[in-house]
Amino acid sequence: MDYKDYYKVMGVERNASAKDIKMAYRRLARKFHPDISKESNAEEKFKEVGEAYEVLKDPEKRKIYDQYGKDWEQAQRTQQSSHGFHDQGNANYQYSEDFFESLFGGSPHFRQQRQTGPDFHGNVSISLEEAYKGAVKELHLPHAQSGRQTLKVKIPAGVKSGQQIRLAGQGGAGRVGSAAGDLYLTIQVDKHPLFDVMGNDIYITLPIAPWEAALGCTVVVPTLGGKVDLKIPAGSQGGQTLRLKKRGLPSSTPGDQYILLKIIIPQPTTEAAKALYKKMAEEMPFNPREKMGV
Amino acid sequence: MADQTIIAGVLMDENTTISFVDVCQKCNISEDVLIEMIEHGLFPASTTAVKNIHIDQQTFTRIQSACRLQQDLGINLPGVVLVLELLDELEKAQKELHILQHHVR
Repeated sequence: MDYKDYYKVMGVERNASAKDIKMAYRRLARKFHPDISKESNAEEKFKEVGEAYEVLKDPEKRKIYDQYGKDWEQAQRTQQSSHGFHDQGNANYQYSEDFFESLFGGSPHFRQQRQTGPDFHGNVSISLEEAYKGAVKELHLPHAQSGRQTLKVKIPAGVKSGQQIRLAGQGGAGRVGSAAGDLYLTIQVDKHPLFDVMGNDIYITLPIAPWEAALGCTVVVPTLGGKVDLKIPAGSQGGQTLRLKKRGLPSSTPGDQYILLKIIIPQPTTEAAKALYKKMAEEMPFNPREKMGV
Repeated sequence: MADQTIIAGVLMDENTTISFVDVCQKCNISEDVLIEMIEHGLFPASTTAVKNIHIDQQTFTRIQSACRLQQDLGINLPGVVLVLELLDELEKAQKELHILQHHVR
């Protein structure tokens, strides 16, 4: 295992007190707990912090770590240390425990309970288009026997961020005569430059010209399923929302696509354009700030 | 290199449910603890014939989060319910903010 500076991981000085180390752990555990943090490496950071705390909180382990540096684990084994990696105390997050349990055989506690092999968990990132249409993704995952494996996994249409796909039997090997565990893949849909997602619904901001809003028109609008015609009613205002039914994500209850109108004012770059604006002001006098009382 | 077989897993969606007893087993909690979670409002469920309920995947994920937050961060159950409710509101607010930011850019 590569040497890690646990003091640096915890953000404390090498002469930090046990109390300071505990406080640092609590702060970092809250910050990086994968159920709370949305950072992409939260799980890794949480595991790292847990590992660092497990060593620094124990006076004996800390002493060996301080004395032997990168060789501290060898020194600890020589001194017949007790638990090894699995007794991570507070690091109960099942992602890392299941994975390492599968590689190192698990603690006696787990062996007594588990008949089938351990479950593996992982994340897979897909684009919004892939979520809409479905896709086949090639994944490189840990494997208990060979170390690594490559799987081609079908992602069904209509998946959402946070949903899981269960791949039966693709987890850790079971004990002799027992089935392998399962692999759970959690879907993460990447942000899209145009579309936003809320539930099964899709949102898009549609720029339109002032005359299109005032007079009404038909415009082409992008959707995940392709371009469609949208009728803008006459007298539309900026911020108004139009709906395209069943143009959201597919589901037992398909979502809709909502279009937020944004009126873009063309810049009066010519004298003729300025004259047109002046004529509009004369022909259509109104106070947009009337409701403000000014 | 030979073509690999494409594996189709099972999407754990709203139609995928697991029993009350199975949830307790998978989360390594007692039935009383799961009932207490219902009574604290962690997820909506009838408290009559509670052991007959079937839990969907989203709720199961929520229960797993609650267990991890209790164990890893030492938060009590009312605190965990509050944390998860606030995280729900935060996520919704962030999504709405993102839509509005797209609108004003």
